[in-house]
Amino acid sequence: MAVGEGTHRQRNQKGKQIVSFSKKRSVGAAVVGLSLIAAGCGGGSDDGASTEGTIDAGVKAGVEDALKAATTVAGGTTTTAPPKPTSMAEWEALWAKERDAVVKKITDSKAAKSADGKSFTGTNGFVVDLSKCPVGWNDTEGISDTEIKIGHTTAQSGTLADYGNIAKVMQLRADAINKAGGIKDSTGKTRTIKYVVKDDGYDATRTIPLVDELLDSEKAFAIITLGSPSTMKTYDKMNQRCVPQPFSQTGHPAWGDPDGHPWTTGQQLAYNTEAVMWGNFIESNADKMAPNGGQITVCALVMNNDFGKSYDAGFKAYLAQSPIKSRINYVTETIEPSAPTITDPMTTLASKNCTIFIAMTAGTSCTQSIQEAANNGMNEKVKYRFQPSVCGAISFVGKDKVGNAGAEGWYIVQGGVKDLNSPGFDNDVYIKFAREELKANGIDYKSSGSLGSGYYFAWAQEQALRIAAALPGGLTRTNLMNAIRNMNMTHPYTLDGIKFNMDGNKDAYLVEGGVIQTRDAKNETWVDAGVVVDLSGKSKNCKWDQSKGLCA
Amino acid sequence: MTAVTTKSRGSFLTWLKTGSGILTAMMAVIVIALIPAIIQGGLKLFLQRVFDSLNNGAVYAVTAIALVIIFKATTLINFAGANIAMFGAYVCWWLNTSYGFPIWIAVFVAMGTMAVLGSLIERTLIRPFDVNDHLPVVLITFGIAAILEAFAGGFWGLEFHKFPSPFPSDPKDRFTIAGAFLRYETIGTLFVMGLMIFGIYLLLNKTKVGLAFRAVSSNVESARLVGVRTGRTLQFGWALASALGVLGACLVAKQTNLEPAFMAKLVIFAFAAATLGGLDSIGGSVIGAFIVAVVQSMLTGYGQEIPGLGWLKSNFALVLAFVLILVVLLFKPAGLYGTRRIERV
Repeated sequence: MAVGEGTHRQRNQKGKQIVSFSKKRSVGAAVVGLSLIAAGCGGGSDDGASTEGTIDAGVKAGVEDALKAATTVAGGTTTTAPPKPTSMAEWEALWAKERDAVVKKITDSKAAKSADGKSFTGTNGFVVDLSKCPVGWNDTEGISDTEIKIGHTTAQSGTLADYGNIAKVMQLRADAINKAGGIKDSTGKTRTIKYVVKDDGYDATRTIPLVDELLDSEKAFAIITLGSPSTMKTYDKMNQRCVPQPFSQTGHPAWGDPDGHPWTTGQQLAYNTEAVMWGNFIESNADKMAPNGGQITVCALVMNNDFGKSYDAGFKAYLAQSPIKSRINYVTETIEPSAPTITDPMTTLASKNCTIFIAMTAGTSCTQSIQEAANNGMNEKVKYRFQPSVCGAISFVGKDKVGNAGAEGWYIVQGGVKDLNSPGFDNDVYIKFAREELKANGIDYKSSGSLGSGYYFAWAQEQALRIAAALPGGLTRTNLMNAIRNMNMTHPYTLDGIKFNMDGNKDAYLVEGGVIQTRDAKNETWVDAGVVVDLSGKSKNCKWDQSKGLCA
Repeated sequence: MTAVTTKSRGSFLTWLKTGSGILTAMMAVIVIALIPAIIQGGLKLFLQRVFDSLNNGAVYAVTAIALVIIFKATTLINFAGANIAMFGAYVCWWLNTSYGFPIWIAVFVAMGTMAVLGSLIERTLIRPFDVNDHLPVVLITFGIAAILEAFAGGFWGLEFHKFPSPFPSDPKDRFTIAGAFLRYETIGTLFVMGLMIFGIYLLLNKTKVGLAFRAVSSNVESARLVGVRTGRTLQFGWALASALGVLGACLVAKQTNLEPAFMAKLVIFAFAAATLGGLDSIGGSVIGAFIVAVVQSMLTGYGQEIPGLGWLKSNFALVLAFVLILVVLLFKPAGLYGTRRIERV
């Protein structure tokens, strides 16, 4: 599953010990019933089984280094975060400066299309073979002298309809940008942003024809998709058609493939990186969990779609190379995204004498896993209980959702993103701006955790368009992708210490950091249980092997 | 002696073809297949699965009953029923959280509200169509479902909400029996389900409107000929089904959480229960609900312990339920306790 995914996360603003790394590039009724099964089971999960594979050695080493560094502060490996802007004007000035730097970097690299127009050589190894694009392909299709048309498939109905609030905020931000003058192009044109939003109900089978419609009828300049299943089912086509699929609202690792899929990028912490952080946590605490070399049982509730399988595969890959793998017994239960309750699988897991529980799920089932663990006794017996990064928001783990005991004591790998709803960010300049803007538009910021995600994605979209428009030749599809793949900016919605950057083909992930935290239910916030780990540039690119469900 | 044996064998085979016979045989097969895993898992886990089955079964049953009421009256499947119930649950939650209505008062007000809406739907959108032409009516129910889902999302937002439980629902609100937890919520849901069945029994068998409903359910034309006001009776059926659906939704929403699609997820299991038990049998649908719940809990819980069946995890729950239905329908097309209709041609 996806989105909201990396988008609902928070962290308290205290204790800012930041570890930063230098960037090393490394039958009648039965028929009715069966048709309903098909509808109910539409998890979009046919991308291959989760099998053991190899993990990203750079990521693993990065996590280990970060934790070692945290214990050797005197060694000089820790730094403090630079001072943050104290007003929106200061933020705007900072972003303008950072955009200029990206534009300079790209311009200096002489990025350009070849004379015959058959290839585009971008910055730091980013190359696109344009000769494979369809006949009649146009680098500026979807933009006129006055407008940029961007397609967006999202869930506005169905069980994950709340994610539709992301599109709502992106539209709201586009309106504000348009009102403030739009996107100014180096060719002298000024354009407004027009989003064409289509509801796929988080059903990948509906996404496919909607993307076709956006490609062939709307002729969108770029198309944003939401969710791992929907993005997975469309990213081959988008790349064959040479149409940007930027800032996909999912944390699947497959979006880090600039060689095979140059037109697709993600924006969230990759799920397999998160799995490495879980694995490292277990290794580091193994003797505490099971003294004297005892067995550790890791129980996982896995959602049966691309999202859950990605977590599962990443964690299995970690275990396969772990020096303590003989001590670890990995037990999983699988649930459909459409399952109304999860009582049965949680009962099964509760019977396995788990040492650790990990919810590899999204949406309502995150909250249900907390409720069920409280009801079936797991809370008392299993000390280490993890929520996935996509479920850190107060809208999933707050007391008004999970009950009075809250999610006290649960752990999480925060994917490096703030939470619009958390009181811990009441004094954050950008959060205040977002809340006020929502209020001015008649939207209660507390009404959905996805609203904050909207700001997270909308900000990146705006900056990428501004950078691409400022490049020689102005806004084009190739310039947009080159701009995104060379962004190096300070995202106002990420946690301090988390970089927001790519570097051509050398670094294909925008966000590669997080921090392990534990829930303080009394104060409705997460508190650090470790240091902020930023692995910027350390994740290897991922050539997704569909048959194995792993990065090749 | 031989004659007696043959007679006994014949009557056994006859019994085996009845709903009770098929039910018993199915359960026996399941239990025998799972005995080694049950023994290995221990009494505590077995009891926990039984309690889970009771809880899920009660939830499916109250939802299935609402489907059956409409089917009995009109012989069509009401695809709007789930979302009428969902909308009612939202009304209940809204009254409780925004206006401070005590939860049970809010439940009853929501039931009444949706009963009125259900009767209005029947009068304005269903009755104008030929009762024997199912396709337009089924399509209309689909449309109503989509409209209600959109309205719920528009009024109350798309994010899910915690629903106030009508029963004590703290994690400690439970009995511990041999280490397994029987939650007060489960007992409460079973109790309400029992009351619901009893109330429906009284309504259909001891009242004039119930008699009319049964007459219409049996044969609309005959009922009309003997003076039953079939339109109003069907309207009553819609109102009753809508109210009962809301009650079911309010009982289950605590576990599923409240969001516009929560009943759409659940109704698949209710359909399974009703189809299995017999779409025109209230008792059958209740039994079907518990079979579906038992199959879910036991087969997916223990099945994977059987060598070679490690893949049989919880995501197969619905598939297994429908495989069971297909098997039953091959032998009993009307379901375990449904009425087999014979028509002259």
